[in-house]
Amino acid sequence: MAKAHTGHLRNSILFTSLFIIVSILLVLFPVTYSIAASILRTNAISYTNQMLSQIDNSINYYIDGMISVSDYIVENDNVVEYISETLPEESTAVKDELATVAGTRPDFVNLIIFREDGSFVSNKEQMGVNPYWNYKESGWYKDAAAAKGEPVFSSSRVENVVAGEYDWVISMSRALYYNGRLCGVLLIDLNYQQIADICSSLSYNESGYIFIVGADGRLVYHPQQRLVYSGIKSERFDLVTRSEGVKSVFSDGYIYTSSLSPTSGWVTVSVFDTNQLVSISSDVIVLFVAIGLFFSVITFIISYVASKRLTDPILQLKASMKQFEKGDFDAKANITVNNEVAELGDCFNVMTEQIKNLVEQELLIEEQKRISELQALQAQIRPHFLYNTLESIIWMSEIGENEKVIEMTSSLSKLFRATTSNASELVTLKTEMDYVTNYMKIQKMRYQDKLNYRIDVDESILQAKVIKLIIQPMVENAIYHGIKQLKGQGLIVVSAYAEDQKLYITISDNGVGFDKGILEGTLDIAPKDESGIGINNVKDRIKLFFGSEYGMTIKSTAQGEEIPDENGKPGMRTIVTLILPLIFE
Amino acid sequence: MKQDAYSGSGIKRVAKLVLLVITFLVTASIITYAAVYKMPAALTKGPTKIIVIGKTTSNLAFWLSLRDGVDVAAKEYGVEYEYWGPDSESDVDAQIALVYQAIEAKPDAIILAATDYARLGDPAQAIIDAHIPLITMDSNVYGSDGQSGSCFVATDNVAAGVKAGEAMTALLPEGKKIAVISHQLGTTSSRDRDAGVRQGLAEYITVLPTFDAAGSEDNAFELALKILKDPEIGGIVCLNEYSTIGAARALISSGLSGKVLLVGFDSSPSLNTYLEEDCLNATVIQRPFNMGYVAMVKAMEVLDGNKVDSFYDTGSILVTKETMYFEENEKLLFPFT
Repeated sequence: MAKAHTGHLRNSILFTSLFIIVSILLVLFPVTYSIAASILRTNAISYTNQMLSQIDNSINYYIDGMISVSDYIVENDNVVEYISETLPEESTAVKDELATVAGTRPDFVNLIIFREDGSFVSNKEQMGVNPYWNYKESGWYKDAAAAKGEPVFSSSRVENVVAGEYDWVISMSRALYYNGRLCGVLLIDLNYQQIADICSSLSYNESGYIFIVGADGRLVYHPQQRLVYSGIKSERFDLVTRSEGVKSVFSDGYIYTSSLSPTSGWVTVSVFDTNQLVSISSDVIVLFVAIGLFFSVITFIISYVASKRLTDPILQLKASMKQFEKGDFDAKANITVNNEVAELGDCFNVMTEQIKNLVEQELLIEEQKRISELQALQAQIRPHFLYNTLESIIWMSEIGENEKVIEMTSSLSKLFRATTSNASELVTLKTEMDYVTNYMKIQKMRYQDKLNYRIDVDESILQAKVIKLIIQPMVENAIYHGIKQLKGQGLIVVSAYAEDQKLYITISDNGVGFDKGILEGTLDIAPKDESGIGINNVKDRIKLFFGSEYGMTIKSTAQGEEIPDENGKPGMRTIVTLILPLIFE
Repeated sequence: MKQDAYSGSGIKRVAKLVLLVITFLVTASIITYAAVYKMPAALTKGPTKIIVIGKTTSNLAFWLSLRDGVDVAAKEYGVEYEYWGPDSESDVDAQIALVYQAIEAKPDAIILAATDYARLGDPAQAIIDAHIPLITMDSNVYGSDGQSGSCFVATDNVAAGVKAGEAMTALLPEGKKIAVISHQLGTTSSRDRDAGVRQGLAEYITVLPTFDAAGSEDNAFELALKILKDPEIGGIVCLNEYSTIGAARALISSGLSGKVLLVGFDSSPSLNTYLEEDCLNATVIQRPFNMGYVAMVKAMEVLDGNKVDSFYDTGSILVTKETMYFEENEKLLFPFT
């Protein structure tokens, strides 16, 4: 048998669609991802830059505030008098002035004017200078002196000039001149927390942060300032550019954007970490794989169903073809779907129908041939019988028995008429019996006392229809094979009776009986001689005409034994029964 | 026979379809589960909870700074934490009770600074037995079975002690003796610093047996007053913040400030003032901020399944009046806010 190819078409449909969806996803993902990543990056950078300008603005607000306050103080008459040393060391007027200014700006920690003679005025009620330090050594003082009246900004620092206080501040210092002579320094300390709060609220997100470097290179603010100082985290100060405007430097996935404030000298730096996108992407990849898997399964199911709709009718058609191949001409493809395969199925059905018709026609022709052959056979009167009869006639004429000659010749003539008549296949039982009677008469004249016969038919069934020429061959058989070899008188009884809508015709004889071998071979008597052909011929004709439930039975005993007759007396040795349907007309 | 084969493959096909539907349902539910539960968890890392048990909840600058470090790390990693501790460093029983309470709370990790090396052994073992990752900081402790926590984050106290000893050696006049005041004799930080100091001191210097301030500044003050009665004493080394403050107060009250040397540990506003007025000649400062920060980082690393080194040294710096306003020291001496 051929190898099973079931499912190959479906597999290729499945794998093709899977291949397509996977390819689409594989192409789509990197494209989508890179677009998304670049949008993300652009957004993040613009957000970081927005933070940068926002922080710059906020810081400049404080810086500008300090400058305008210092401008006010520098030009204040009381202050000018104080530094020109026309006012005493403890000037309440200047002190009030400073306290008033400081009152408007709660973010100012200290407002102190140091005079060259070492005295000072503070906004605070009672302030002592830290005795352990000389403020003139401090950076803010030196820088202010060097800047010649321009404001100078420190980075974040601890203010140690006030005794007992250590505040974290941003300092602005400014040298005070009177008549071109350095007379003192103004120190404004801004609470560092103010700057830190602005920065910490704005400076940190997942992908970036902002830090500020002072003019002296020290950190003003860094979200992880202490981690940077302690060396746990390092900052790329080398990427900070100290030039006018906004400059970006790219290194190792980091973008450092520096913005220099000309008034404070501070550089605000935004750091954007593009590597953060990579860590986000691992989640995206998981999501993508999940979505890919999901769509692959969906595709698989859809194409499975679709391919099933395609391949099922094909498999149906194939099954029908196999059935047809096995010889079942009734094989029909019942394809329920409505597509090209259904058309193919219809074509197949038309083809099988035609082939079936052709084969049936062929069979019919065969049948007809056989029937005509049989008819030809039945029409024959055996030449032997004719010779013998004619010999008998000649012999009887020689001895002058004219009456017998006439009788015999007339019987022979009737026989021939019956044989050659073109009447239909079916005749009445009476006609058949007449035929048998004529035949018996002829044979009786030949065999004289050795052959006795009796015809025993009920009147009521004489008009029943039988196939013609079925009884005579049986009688002939009984004579030639039963009586002829019998020593003593032979008897042939032909009788007919009806029972259960069946017509039984029996031909019994007391002849020698059949050979045991023939009997055991049931009813198929080997057609080795004419009698065999005759018996089989009759049987076949009955079956052909009326069906297989009709036919012939033969009962025969071995030599010497006898079959009891209907009266229980032994008599007959062979009984042939023809079974036909009981039909009238 | 043909008919059988056909219907047989039909059954197979039904089985295949059922299998497909099951596969689909399973996959769909996994994806749904992942999308609904796993993905947001993966994106936000989930609310990891850590309990930090310090030596004290008092306002000691060291512990405030350490808690700052914990807080910064918690914010950076998106971790929830609670800081617990006894009121006083000497209340070992209270800390032991807190450890058992912490185990009950079933946090993702516990960070512990042991107040007593020996007595915290059983509680530490209980943490290990509960399969809660344990990070120790500042003062180490081993489980009673000898097992250690995943990582010990602390100053290398021996090295820090050596710095103090060397500073003292450099300043001490010849022929003078040295006294060492410990804050709490039982703790490893005290033992290691003490050993370091003795290692850092020149061999010719005589050192008195270590005094125990037993967790209080006043004890240190009283001890220092007694020690200062000995005219041969040329210097005192104190092993933590409050013992240094106590000794400094004793120096001032006995009029020996600037005459008898004082080398201490840690920093605080008052210690800074002692440093400025030359009462305190030098102090070895640790990095408590780093300690808290790194302890949290290590806890996160352990929770992420990473291998961590068993010891992380947060380092120490010797600060004198001259170096106290250096940028890097300023931040350590003067905490923000």
